[in-house]
Amino acid sequence: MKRKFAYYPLNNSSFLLILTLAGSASMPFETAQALDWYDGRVQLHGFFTQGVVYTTHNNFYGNTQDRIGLDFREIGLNVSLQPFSRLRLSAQGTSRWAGKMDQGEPWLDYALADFTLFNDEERRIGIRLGRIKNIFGLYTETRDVASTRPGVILPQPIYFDRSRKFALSGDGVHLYGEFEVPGGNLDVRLMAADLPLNDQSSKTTLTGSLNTPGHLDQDRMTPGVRIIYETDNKRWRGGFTYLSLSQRYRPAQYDAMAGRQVLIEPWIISLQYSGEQLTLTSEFSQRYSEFIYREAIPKQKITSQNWYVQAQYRFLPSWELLLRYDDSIDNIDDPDGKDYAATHPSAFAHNRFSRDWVTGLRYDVTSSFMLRAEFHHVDGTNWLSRLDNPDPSKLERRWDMLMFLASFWF
Amino acid sequence: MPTFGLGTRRQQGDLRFGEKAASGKIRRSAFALMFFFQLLPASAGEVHVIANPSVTTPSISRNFARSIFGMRVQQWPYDGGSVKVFVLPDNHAVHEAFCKTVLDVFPRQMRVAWDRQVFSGTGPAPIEVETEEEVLNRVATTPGAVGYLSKEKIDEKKVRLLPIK
Repeated sequence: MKRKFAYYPLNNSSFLLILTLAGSASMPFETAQALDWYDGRVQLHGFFTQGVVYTTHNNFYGNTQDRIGLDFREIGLNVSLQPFSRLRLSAQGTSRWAGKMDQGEPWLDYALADFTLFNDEERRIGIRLGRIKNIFGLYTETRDVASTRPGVILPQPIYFDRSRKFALSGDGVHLYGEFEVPGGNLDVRLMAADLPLNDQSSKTTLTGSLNTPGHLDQDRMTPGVRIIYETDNKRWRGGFTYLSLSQRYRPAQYDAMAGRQVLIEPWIISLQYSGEQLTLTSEFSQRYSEFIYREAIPKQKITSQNWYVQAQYRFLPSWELLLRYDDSIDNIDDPDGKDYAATHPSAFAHNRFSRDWVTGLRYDVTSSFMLRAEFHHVDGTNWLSRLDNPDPSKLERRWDMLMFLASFWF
Repeated sequence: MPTFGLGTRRQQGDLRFGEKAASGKIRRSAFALMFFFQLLPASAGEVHVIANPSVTTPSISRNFARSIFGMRVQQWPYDGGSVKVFVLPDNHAVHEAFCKTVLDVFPRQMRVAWDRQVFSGTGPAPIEVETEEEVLNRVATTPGAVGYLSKEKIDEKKVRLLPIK
């Protein structure tokens, strides 16, 4: 059965114009629903998001210092098919613009076959094969879908945008199980996936250099596990994630960067309370990294620590207030970065941490169109991309950011 | 329509001033009342889970109902048929009553869970229809279908009740 469906032209300038008109709230917005056929066995969903970024210092998602940056856009379309009750096929293509980190390249976000192996009232066990969204914390799976995010951007300490590609999805296999346990349900996922690492943004982040003509190869598939417990009434949700990435930098023929092996092992604890109006969320994560250069040089070991606390308050049915504090330190043995600055002549201590106070407002114009405004007061620069800020000496320690966003989804 | 300019207020008599204060109070309480009503769930009577007569499962637990309407179950456990879920819009009074009284969750939590599945490729969205009549007709004519209706809209010649254990 076909449904009414408001659509927007894909042409960027007219898309922007429509969003601007919508921002003035004078345009009647038709509620769009998903497109589905054959009793929901074929479904089409998608989203368009346009953001606006202004920073007092430093660049985030494009050239935004003292200017209004429009270089933040997210588009996605997904299709799912269910030929048999036990088998679902689904795929999503996305395109994202975020300064020099993402420049609109079409990206196959996931393409998977989901097979139910066992199914009764208390348990479901299944397997997914193909390109699958990574499991990491509460938000990674839908991090590019603005309506599912708690704010304009996710808390950067845990959901780093500068090295986002390898956090998105991987090619491999996921085993999943959902079990009824006393007081609630347990959602268990096990993954083994090959993660894409060779985009410039990830290479720059993992190697620390802008000039990396070589390749990052995975030593092995990345194993991961996520366990989430949710109470019966869905008020409380809490869980644990662990991943272990091991990769090797293979220098090109003429390469200033030496070969190295990089091991990254993040874990994260998540806890969320969802009431009718109030949602409280906190996640705490540590990431153990090991850099192995040559046998003669001792291993470099660093543990970084990232966390946030966040409150969302829906004070009216269509209005939501956001308050968040997030905190990131690159090295728990050197939280204020002073040792690093003292031992690296061209480095600055504030490039090793960030503390961000965030306040924001969400207005749901319809059930499929929303507007957002958000203010960040940041101390530190460690989650800024070097691609947008090529000269680290020009980074200002304290900076503010104002963001606006309009998003449509169906 | 009284004016609210400061200059005119000074020139007006006590009575007029009192009137104006009262009208301000009325406005404020009207606004507070509107605010209050927006927060209250619209009243809806008893809501029951219904299924297509082809569904052989005799009854379901509340937790299993949450899994079915949370779109985590693709297959009926007894007969292996496809599960097809019909729901009303998020702000529909019957949907709200169903979520709160039958599932004991908030409509927003259901929406968050559906969106998370739909945009990560791990589950489909339910089929949303506009009216209770449409729920009745679609569930009646779709094998494996499940939905919910307020008590007075249920026609047991077309659909069967799926009791919660």
